[in-house]
Amino acid sequence: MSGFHAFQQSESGMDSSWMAIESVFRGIFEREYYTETGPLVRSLEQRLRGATGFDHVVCIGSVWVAHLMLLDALDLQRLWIAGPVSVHLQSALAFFSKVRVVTEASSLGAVAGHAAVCNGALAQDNPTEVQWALASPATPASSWFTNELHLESSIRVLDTSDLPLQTSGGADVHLGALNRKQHFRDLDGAYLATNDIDLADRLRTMRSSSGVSRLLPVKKTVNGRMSEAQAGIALLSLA
Amino acid sequence: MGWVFMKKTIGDLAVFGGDPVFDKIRPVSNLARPDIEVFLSFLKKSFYMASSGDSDGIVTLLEKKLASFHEVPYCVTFNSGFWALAAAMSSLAKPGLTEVVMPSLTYRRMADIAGWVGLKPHFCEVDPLRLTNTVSCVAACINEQTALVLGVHPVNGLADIDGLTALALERGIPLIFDSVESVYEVNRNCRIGSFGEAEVFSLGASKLINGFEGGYVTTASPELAEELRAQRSGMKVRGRPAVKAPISEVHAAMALASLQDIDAQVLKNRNRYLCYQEGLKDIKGLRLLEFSVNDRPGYKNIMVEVLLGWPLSREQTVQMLNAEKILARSYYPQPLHTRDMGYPSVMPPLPITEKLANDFILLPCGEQVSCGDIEKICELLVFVEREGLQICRQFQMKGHV
Repeated sequence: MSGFHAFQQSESGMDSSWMAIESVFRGIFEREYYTETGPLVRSLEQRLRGATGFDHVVCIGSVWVAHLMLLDALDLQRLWIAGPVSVHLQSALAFFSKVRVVTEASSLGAVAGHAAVCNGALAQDNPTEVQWALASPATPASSWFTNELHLESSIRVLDTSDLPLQTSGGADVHLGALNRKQHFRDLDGAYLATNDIDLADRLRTMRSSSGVSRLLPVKKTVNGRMSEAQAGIALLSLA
Repeated sequence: MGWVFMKKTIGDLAVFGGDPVFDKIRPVSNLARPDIEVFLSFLKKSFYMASSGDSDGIVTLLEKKLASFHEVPYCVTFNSGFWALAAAMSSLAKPGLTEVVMPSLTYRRMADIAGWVGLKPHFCEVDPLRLTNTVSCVAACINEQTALVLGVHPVNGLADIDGLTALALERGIPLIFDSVESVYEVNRNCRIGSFGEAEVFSLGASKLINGFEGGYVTTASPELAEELRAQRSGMKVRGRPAVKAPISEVHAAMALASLQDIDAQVLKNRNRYLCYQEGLKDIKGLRLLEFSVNDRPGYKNIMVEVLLGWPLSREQTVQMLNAEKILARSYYPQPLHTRDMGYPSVMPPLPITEKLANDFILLPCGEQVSCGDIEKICELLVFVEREGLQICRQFQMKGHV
């Protein structure tokens, strides 16, 4: 995505990077907003709306938590995964033992075709019945959504959490990671972008209820708050 | 020149159209601001260490310092108190059993934490004086499905640590303490952190140690500490889903700076508490919940009980205060057992809990509230008590609850 670039981390740029970071934190300490009610998280959500082209963006403090939230909010029973499964998704899926995961058989070392994994068992499956398609695109996402599957009735989720930020063409929901390997280890951060206002409000209700236009019933909440620190560093990385 | 109380008639109250007492909100969150230079020094180390490929710095240092502060061998950090508690519950619940006994009058997401790790909350009553679950409350809910007991320290004191510990030992059930509100306190001269199988704390901005976000588990068990670290890195333990939620270095740096400030912060909190004590002493309809010096409290939360003589309902009082930009909050107004849940739970009748859910108000506290502010808040409350009948009528005329 042209709207993003990795912040310079070369040796010669280290000191100027540090100065920019220091300035971010001096601002945070001056304003005394520390979590997602602060101006940096709001500004980041606004910037990401522009960058992704979606109407609603919900920033979350952790990529892993973002996966849990999305899986729970969509209440899916069957999940088609195109391409490799991200480490975060794999870990989050462990909390959803009733979800039937459908993936390419070849990626599981089986014969060509489509396969289902349910509680560790592998079987041939028909992907046209899936409710949710998730692409983790080594190839452009749009090709997964338009060519590989017939998915008019599915929610198409693009998961780029293991990848550099990129366009979300064809997706209904985009799950992206922030602060990947930039400046600090494990700074973490994610966003969920969608045009579906109900889904966005459900996600906000789950996260912390900050910024919710309507409190909607959800099965479970989490602590998914993004800090001003995470947002400030992520904003530095945006062009 | 000192501040002069400006409200002469009830029409001056902001809820009825007057100017608010404050131009900026006075929160009920601690929002401690540590020394920025200390924070930046920790952060800078982390920044240059990350670029050199060095690792295991700031987070390990924080865990060592927290373990030392709580006088306990092990501390494992997570990205929030929520996920720290989830990890502890998941690790400690007795295999094959399903229920966790917890109070209903508590943190609004508490039941969800159990739900995430596949446990069924079994809500118990609370003691009306301690405002948390005591031995008799918990014992009444223990059954053959009990996998875990959760003791919760209330906002203004300590849980019945010794009683719950003895009960858990006698019944052979693991015990976790939610110690989010009791970071600084001591029990029999031992700092909170070493009781039960594990204790769980938060590093959220509203807490005594502000780490932006974060949480941690303290324990004396090397096996539990190892298992929690494995979970945090995404490894399943004994087939259970892992809580893959490490704290970030930036948040760890903030927590380290806050921890360094903690004694000074508690002194400031104590001053605020004493200001409230002085300002509320002549108000008959509100009772300030007192801290016991024996607990060596952190004085973080300020809570009042609305007594029968107070002219307004709790909700009217909160509404009136909020209009003045005094961000008072009802104390757990919707107990967990009265909520709809997307997972199984055990919800016995809890009449004491339901009564208490209507009785308490949290008042502004923490770094962004001065003793001068507290003086204003208390003067306003004196005014409200004095003009209570008229205010009540005006509320009714305007159709407020």
